[in-house]
Amino acid sequence: MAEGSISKVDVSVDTKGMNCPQPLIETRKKLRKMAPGQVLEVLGDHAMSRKEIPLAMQDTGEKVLEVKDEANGAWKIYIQKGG
Amino acid sequence: MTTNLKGIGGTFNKKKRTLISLSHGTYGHDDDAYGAMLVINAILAMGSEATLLLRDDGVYMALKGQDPNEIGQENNLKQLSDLVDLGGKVYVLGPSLEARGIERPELIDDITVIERKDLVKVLQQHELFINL
Amino acid sequence: MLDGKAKADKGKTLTIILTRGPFISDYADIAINTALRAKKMGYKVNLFLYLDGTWNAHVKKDKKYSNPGEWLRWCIKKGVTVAACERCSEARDLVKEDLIEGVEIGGVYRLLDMLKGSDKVLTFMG
Repeated sequence: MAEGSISKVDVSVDTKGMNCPQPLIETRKKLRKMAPGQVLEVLGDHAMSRKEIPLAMQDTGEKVLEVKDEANGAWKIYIQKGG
Repeated sequence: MTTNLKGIGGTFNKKKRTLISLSHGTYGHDDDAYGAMLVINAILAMGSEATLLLRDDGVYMALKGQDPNEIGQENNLKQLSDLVDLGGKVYVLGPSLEARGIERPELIDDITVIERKDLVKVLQQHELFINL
Repeated sequence: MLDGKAKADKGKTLTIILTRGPFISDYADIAINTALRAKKMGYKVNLFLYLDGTWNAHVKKDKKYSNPGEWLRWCIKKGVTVAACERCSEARDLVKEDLIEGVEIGGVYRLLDMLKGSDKVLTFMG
């Protein structure tokens, strides 16, 4: 995915400092309240969640637009709500 | 205690539905209760169906007004609230409440009290069972 | 399952969750030996060490008496998949090097992976 390809974020959730599986739980809670097509930005720093959140999204038809690695183990994941 | 199972039913889902039965309450066996809640909430967050059954001392989990901050522990009501936000169901076993002198108004709103006779129907609606 | 109908159940998957540590109760003994027995009978077996169950994988040295660490080594040798919960290990300051070789450390997601493919789940806790 090209960096900077996300043009609009509708909702953002910060999961930094949370341990597995709370980042996924917070991500899913937000997604459930969003409309199809909207984009969620997930900020986090838990290494396992960085791998598992995209996998979890596949099972439910959400589209992972981008996974961006940042300094000190932080990451951002951009997810488009399916439907 | 009244039983309301009108919400139960629906079409068979090809994904396995998990029933987690929790027999430990809060703050004395907090690791068990918290550990159970993380598993069920993770199952829900992964997109599968899951139900929490509170029985025995697990029914204390559903009491209103819990505030364990002074003993430095996280409030289990937050985990229950996450479960409801994720679309999960919570059943509380009526006889366990009666045995402990707990009345329905003392419990949070988003739960359904069931009787022993309803257990088989609940079990039939799930494919995997985890007792914690 | 595990009721003597071994032929019919062969190839099915059993996941065992152990939440109790070593030497505190019979649960580690029963859980791990059930895993070994089921494997011998032809099941695919997963063993997930959750909460205090992670301590069983910390018993690395041989003892003069039978112990969960030794049984876990047997499990791994016989092809049982053994994973320890990442959150629970971290809370107890356990890292991969502290654990018996062959024990994976996985998040709750690892448990969910095991559950997804399982025909039956047994939980040993007290």
